[in-house]
Amino acid sequence: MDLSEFDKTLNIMPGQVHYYDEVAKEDKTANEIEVIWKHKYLPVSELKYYLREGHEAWEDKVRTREQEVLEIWMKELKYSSVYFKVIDKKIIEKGKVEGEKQTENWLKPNSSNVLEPKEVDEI
Amino acid sequence: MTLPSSGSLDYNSIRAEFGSPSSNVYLNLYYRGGPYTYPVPANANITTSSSGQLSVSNFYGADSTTDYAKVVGQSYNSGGKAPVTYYGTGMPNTGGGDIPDTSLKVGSLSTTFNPPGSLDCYASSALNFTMTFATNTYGNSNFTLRNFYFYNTSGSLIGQFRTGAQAGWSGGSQPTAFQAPNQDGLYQQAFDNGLAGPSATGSNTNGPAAAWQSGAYTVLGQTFFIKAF
Repeated sequence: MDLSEFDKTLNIMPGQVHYYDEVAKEDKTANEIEVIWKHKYLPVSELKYYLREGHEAWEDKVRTREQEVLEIWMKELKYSSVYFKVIDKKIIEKGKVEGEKQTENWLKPNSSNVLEPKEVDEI
Repeated sequence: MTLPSSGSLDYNSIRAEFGSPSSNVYLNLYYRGGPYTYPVPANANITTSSSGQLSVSNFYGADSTTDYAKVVGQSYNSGGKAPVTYYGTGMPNTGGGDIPDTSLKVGSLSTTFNPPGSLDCYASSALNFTMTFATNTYGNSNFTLRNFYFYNTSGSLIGQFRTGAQAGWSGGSQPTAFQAPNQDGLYQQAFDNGLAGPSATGSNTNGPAAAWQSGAYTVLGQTFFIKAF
């Protein structure tokens, strides 16, 4: 099942928050941002996340939370996490062979994707 | 990133620094050792869920998870006629690697554990430690003689690995694939100690080799947190 049709809204919270800027070596203030995920048509919860504007790990943390949101929605839709997982915003069955690339990775887990082959002369 | 070590500090600042899924601020989200607050020295003043109550003052100077990686390690014996025991995650034939938090700071460089291939952080001997990073690590001097500290889930320092004097170099006459990290972000201790380089003066034998300064490579066979700055 495709979960990708959702809206992600960012709101600025009232008041400023404090943090230590390690580059400038001084205390600073910033806006706190509320991120809201709401699916367009599936009967799942509206979920949120709060983080400082300009946080060094903004993308990483919001991406992690988004994956968590999708996994919560998966469970709300009665998919068991024992048998299903969310990959690329889709609910897929664990262990199911989706394509040739997956099979190739199982057969050669450290293939040329890890270390590009070099000509002997070049080495 | 950290919270201020003195002055104004409130619930919302803690939430905004560590992240929160809730519009209500629950300090008990942030017990040391939980998903938002790793058991690293900067968070030593924050109590664990089993040792007492939390207050805002516990969070002065505290670090969010941003600068540290979390790795779920295990031991794995390859079997066969010449068995090798690996410690860590992502070792050959064990799947894609289990690193729930891939981002970390190496010196002043923000980077991540990163495929291609798998998320690797494992060792099979005191001389064979492998990690896969993003490509922004290639040729980055933050890797030269860089200490990697490993903390267990109780917050104890269980090991310290230091990269060699040749780590973080790029260019020169050595193939990019043999430098540490190489052009794909692959750090291999053997290459760090052997072929990596050359140094700015043209020598590739200067300075100390990569080695464990305390603990041993076997500490990677458990869940641990990495501090590298």
